[in-house]
Amino acid sequence: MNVYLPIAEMSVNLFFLIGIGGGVGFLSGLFGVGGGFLLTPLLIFTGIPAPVAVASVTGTVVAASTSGAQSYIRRGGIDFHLALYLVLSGIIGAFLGVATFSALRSAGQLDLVISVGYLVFLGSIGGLLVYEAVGSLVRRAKGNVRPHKLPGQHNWVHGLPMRVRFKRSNLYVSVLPVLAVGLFIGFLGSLLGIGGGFILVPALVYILRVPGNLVIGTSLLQVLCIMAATTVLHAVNSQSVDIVLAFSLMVGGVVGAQFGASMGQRLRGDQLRALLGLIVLAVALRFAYSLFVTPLDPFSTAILGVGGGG
Amino acid sequence: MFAVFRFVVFVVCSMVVLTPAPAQRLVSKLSATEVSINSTFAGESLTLFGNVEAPIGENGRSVTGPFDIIIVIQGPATRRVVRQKSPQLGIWLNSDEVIFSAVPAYYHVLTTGPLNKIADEEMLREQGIGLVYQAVVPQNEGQSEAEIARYQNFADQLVRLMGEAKMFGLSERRVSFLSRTFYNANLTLPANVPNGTYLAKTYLLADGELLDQKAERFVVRTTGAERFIGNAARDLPLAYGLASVLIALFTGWLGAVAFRR
Repeated sequence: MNVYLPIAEMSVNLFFLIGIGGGVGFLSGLFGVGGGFLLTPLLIFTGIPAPVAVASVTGTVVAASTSGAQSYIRRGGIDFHLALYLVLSGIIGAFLGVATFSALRSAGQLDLVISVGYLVFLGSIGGLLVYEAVGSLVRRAKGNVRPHKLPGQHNWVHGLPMRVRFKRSNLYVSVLPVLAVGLFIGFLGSLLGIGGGFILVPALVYILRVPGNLVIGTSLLQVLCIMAATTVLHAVNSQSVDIVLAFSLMVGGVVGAQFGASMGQRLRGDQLRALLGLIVLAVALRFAYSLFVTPLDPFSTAILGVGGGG
Repeated sequence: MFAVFRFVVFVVCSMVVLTPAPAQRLVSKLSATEVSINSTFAGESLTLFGNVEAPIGENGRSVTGPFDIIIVIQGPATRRVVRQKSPQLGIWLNSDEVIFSAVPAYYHVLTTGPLNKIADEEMLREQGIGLVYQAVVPQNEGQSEAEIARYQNFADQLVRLMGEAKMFGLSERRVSFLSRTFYNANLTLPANVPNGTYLAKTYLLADGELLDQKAERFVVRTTGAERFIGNAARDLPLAYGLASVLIALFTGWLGAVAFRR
């Protein structure tokens, strides 16, 4: 059964959309990530125009992170004070990201920046995940399981000025790195159509030293707010949010995430991270392929608007 | 006085000489004047048919064949850019582009036989029939040879890309005569056909000679919810964006509630 996407102006099989939404939702539930970084490339590779894919996936990520954030709100697993700083700077980042998005789109270089952006960020995150997880698996195989090392109480970040006390996280830290992280995630998320959870979580853990029980919830709330703002910004700025596309994906995603979450409880942390790292690396390689390998067709065409005489 | 008389005689004579002999007329029709795109739109088939009639005041016996028919279906004009990728420092990126200001969003030619056999080059160029005339090369003052060649290359690529996207096409022998004078043709509009006013031009030919031509319009447009969504996104972008977010929040909340364990 085909469904007509009014903004993308094309017909796509409805079950295909719900299927990839469900598949990515399953993975996002399994790994506790937003899934935007998988969904956007999948849509682009299946022929949805990149601007529509990026803008619509932001809407889908809103639904996915709402589902996830719910349980953390109930359990009190969110530092709202910290989230406020991240969200405010993130929205500024999203403004910059959407403006950059429009400028690149009219210059014809949006696809390039999306490809390079995905390659760089997915490549480095995926590489780190695999490296770390393989090391942990090898140590486990050798039998000398080291106790999980808690992050040290202080690093260079904690020496910066303008310190603020975040009671819930038991942190007394400069707002500068907090704002910088928020800004960066907002910018990247709106430009690439990803929630940025897979960058935000390590940043919260390793840079800001946020306690483990608050990391995921706070990250989800930040992603939820930034993606909601980005959806509105994309709708206003480039009119490329396809709600039919986004809705089909989120229906599949919300259901898939539930199955992924229950599956995730049966796998060990390092196995999960190794698996996630491999998937992330595979997507990065797919982008590397499109950048470095001679394209089958170097020519492409795009519509600019209504034509005039001559 | 005499000069004026001579002029009048000249005009009258030339009118008599230049008025062509009464030719066969064409009567043409489309099976639909509106194609609606709704949620389950998967392309639509359109029938174009018509009859060759005798000139006014003569009976059907004077209609002699064989005839040839060319039907041109043309979508709304659009501005298009063609981009070319080339390796820059090892990375393939868009490095060159040409903008074409009036490219039909859809263009299809249906004929009774090979296009170059049933009509000559000159007539086709004059009428602008054929894929190659749809990508008009930008003209500038003092264009160099190299520039013209570059534009021409991009124009050729545009025609090729539009063809691969099933938006441009030439279907020879798709028009068939069911009787000596009655023809019909089927056209399947692809699922991703753009909105707008389309023109179907029918040319009647015999022995390469253009006898008559007719044009019909039909409209392709989204209807129902799809039209509403498309309009809302364009006209009320802020409300559309906020509504999208609300739908996402609600769907996510519903999912969490429905599956609460």
